[in-house]
Amino acid sequence: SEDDGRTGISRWLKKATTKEDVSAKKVRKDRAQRPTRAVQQAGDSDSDDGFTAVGKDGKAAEGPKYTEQNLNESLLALIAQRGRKNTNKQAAIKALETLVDVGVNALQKAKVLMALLSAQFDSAPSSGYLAAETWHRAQARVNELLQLLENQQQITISETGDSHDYKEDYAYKGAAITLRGSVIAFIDRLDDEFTRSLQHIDPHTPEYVERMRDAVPLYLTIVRAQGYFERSGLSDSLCRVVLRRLDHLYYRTDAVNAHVEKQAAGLAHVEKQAGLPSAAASGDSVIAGFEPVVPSTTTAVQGIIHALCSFLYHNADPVGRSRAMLMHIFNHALHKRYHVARDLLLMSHIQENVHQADVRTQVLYNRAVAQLGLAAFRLGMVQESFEHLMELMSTGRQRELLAQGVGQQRVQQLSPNEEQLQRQRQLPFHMSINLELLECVFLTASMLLEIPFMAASAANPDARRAPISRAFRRMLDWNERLVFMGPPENTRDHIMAAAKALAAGHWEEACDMIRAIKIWALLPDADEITAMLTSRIQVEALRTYLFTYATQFESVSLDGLAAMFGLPKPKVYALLARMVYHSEVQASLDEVGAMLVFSRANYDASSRLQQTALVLSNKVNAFADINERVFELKINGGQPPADRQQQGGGAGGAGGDQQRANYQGRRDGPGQGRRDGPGQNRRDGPGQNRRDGGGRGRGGHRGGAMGGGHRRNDNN
Amino acid sequence: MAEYDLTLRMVQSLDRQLVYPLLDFVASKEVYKAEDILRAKYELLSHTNMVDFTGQLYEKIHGTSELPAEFAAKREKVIEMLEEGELKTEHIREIIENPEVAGLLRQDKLQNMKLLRDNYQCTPEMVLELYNYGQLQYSCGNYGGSADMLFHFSILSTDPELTLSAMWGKLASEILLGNWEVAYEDMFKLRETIDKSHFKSQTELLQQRSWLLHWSLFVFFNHAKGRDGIVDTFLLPQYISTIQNSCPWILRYLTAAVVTNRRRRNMMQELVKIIEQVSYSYRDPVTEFVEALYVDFDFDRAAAKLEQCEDVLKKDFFLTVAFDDFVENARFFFAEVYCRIHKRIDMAALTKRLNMKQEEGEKWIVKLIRDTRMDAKVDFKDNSVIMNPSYNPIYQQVIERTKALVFRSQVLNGAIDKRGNSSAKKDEAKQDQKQKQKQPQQQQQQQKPGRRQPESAVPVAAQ
Repeated sequence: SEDDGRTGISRWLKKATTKEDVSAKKVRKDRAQRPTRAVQQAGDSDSDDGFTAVGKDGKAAEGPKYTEQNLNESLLALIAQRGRKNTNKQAAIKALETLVDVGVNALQKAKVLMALLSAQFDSAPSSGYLAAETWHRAQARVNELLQLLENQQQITISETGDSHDYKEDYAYKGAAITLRGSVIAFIDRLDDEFTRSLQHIDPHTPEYVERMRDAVPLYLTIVRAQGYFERSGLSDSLCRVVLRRLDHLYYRTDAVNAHVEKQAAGLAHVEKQAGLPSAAASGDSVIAGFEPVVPSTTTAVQGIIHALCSFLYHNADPVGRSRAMLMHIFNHALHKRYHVARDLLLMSHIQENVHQADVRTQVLYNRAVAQLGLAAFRLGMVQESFEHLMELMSTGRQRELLAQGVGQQRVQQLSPNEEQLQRQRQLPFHMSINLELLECVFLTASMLLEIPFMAASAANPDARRAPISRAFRRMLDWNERLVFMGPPENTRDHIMAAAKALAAGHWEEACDMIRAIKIWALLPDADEITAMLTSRIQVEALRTYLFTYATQFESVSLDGLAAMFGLPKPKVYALLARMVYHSEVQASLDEVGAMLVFSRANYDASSRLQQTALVLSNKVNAFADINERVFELKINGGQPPADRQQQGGGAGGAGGDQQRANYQGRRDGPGQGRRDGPGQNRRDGPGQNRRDGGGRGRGGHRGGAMGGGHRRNDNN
Repeated sequence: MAEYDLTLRMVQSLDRQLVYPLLDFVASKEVYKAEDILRAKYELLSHTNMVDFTGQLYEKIHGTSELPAEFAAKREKVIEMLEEGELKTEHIREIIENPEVAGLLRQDKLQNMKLLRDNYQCTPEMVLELYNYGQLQYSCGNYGGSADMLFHFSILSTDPELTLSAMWGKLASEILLGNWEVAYEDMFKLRETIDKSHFKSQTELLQQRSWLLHWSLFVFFNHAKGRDGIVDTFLLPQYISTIQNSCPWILRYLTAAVVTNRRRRNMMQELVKIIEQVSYSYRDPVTEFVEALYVDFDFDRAAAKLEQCEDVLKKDFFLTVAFDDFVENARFFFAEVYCRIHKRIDMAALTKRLNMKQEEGEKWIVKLIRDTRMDAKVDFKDNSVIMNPSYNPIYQQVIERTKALVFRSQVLNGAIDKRGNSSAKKDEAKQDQKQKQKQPQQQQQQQKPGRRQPESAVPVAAQ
């Protein structure tokens, strides 16, 4: 344990020499706060210079001979031992605890408490976490320190303060004084240790639940610290503590938060009774003057989150700002305020530079996007939901991307080091987004989009063949290849069965399958969602049916369709009108006879020969394209065709742009650009080539200029 | 009927004095209580220097003919300020209005300033006085004077921020004077300046743009070419996002402009997309009409909304003039969509939906068919219209697709020959077609297609 302790100390050691060591050992989850932390450490190491001047062995400081006069020396001696080999940390803690009681005035107490807290945190093992009991003690001490600072407002603690190792501390009379230290570091550490313990405890045990109970006291401590920072005007620490507070709030629903906030308000109440300054605990009062005193209702909680976020938007550094933004988005999405959340995401332009952000922010971004997808789905916006989730789900690494563990296959690929990193990043279980639910939503959305699309592209040889959702298509193919099909067991099976029923036009069966999925119950508005899904399935079934069997009909009666798919007639009418207007089916409506009349082109298309002719013409065109490409390759002297690559790069870039444009210029509708992007590119690329090549052909050739011409072209 | 009134929202992005005509209009339509409007007017103008007029309003509100003493004091002060401004700018105005000097001024502002300083003893402070005086005149309601002053200032000043501000002042003056031609130009100049200049924050840029959107409404709906201008300007990506982010109600005007501008029919698709996306934050009968027609294909609702539009448009300061135009064109769009979707149309139902009388409706439909050259016939026996939608037979499709193949192959062929020639010069050993080398190029080109013929003939045979 000595060795353990060594690293544990070095984690927290305030020495410049160990800084590298620290940064190597602890790749902390909160890289975001790294720079400030480093600054702080540097600052603290300065103060150490003052401390180390008085070096004594540990034994001398021990024993019951502490008095308020020699307290300062004893304290310095204890501090000096910190981080050395062969130091008995438990003994040091014990000694410091007695010192706390010896201290006669606030100044002495504050100094001892700070040292004690450092010592307590030092005792954490390097791998693993601070035991719950120790953590509780540390938390109590932090509260004590905060209490002291609340009572003695003339004492402030700041990272740039005085080291104050004077012997005359016992004679302190209450003059304004600034001590050197960092309260935010204690808060950070307390919170981090809590998170780490949750990471390590199996979430399915009572121990986890037990541990979760500490979340509220911890939150209260954070709120209290916020009050202190507001009073002492430490804006940097204030931003950090507000961010921590948000960290505790954003993933919970308003109802839960209201409960917690009530306690926070109660805290203020108690303190008021005790005759303490009221500004201390109702921390937001400075931030947002408009806030109600007792935030018990859900709207008030929403107000708190809003106030905290807007405080950070104005005051925090860019990283903090974007984290606050993402948490705000997540919270909006969680409460089904999809449009607000989406607009916030689009206007923040976070998606443009999230790739350069630190991992924790990226994870938060992914979480926000996933939650946005869920929100869209809950509102019945299937298309939007799909667009949001697609990127996340099609990687197959959603566990990793959401920092909720590592997928089974990926475990083997990761090096132990990476694996440890992953584990450090992992979010506590209670914060995680249910992956099965996410998958279920994604697949259901895919089904609703993909099945009619498949039917449409099968009927129309010109249609784009690339699937909307590759992941879904792959699963469906795999499912169809199965020789023996059992009844559906898990969520995925249910959706696949529903998809097959939908493709065949059996909407009722599809509905039953989807309704049978149990996981919907996890969503707060499950009934609404199943109702929404039913009506969506009816609509998509009708569309699929028409796409599939259009060639077999000369006309269809509206009443018949309405009866068949259980839809009201006006809705069928509107649906058909939409399909006709967008030329999805070659038909027109007959108002007088209330039917859909297919045009002649439609039965032409039914003939096999015609279809084949169309396919053939497409293939010949493709052949000609390939020919041109081969020629281009040749003209480059057998070299890998640079222009092709460039074009490929260009197309990829364009795709990326489009994706970005999605978020930026959301007006194209999420992802519409994405779908058009590559297709358009593909279509335009060769076409342009062809045209230009033609121009050259007519205008007389000029040697090898052709290749150059093409290259220029492709870059357009 | 205050539900669809936009005055309150517009006020935020307009200048005080521009709001006045709006309030006047709203007062005449009796949307709000007359007393409230009077108060609003008073409030509006009490921050300007139009003392006399404000005094009249005060009298009206309080029903007295006696004004508090502060009015007189303010009046005195304003007159004093005006005189002072007049005096201060006298010198520079003389110089600038001198045609000789005007001829000497060039594009380069720094150069101009130097020229004025060296030859005419003009200091930058004097130029700044122009700005102040212009502002004062504007505030007093003397728009002609303020337009002149601010115009001179924007030419001479080297301060981009003040220049921008002066341009806004000039635009407001021209709008209030009703010089639409000049205002139209000024507005485009302003748009260009805003797009070009850098603002400290995105918010500021957004604000400038949303101001421009609001102010330009005055110009667009009064200028002859305005209807084209509004469509072109508002559908620029940066202004679309401004509309979506800060002032979705502008969408009403954009929609009205697109609907009344039948020549820009192709803009409809784009508009529909925007309306659909903004519908969660803003909707009124005008946008809902378009939405019902193009998104939901609910003709009954569209017809109902069109009726509602009447009330909304008549009570809208900008659109009241365009009302008849709007209804006429909206009907046209309605019929267009209707005809495109239907094969057989019940004439009675359509005329009813279009809110027309039987006979009038029939005439209208026949006229529509004639004007748009639709392939449609009226069947009087059933009282219906039969559309003959054109379709593209598969044969035609195959022909179209394979048409270009011959040409493409020919081009490729030619290119290969070219290459053959040039590389042959470098390395003759590689060339095995020596006699072709010497043949003129054109012959080769003729030959190659012949050789390629079988390939491209395949699809042709399929016809």
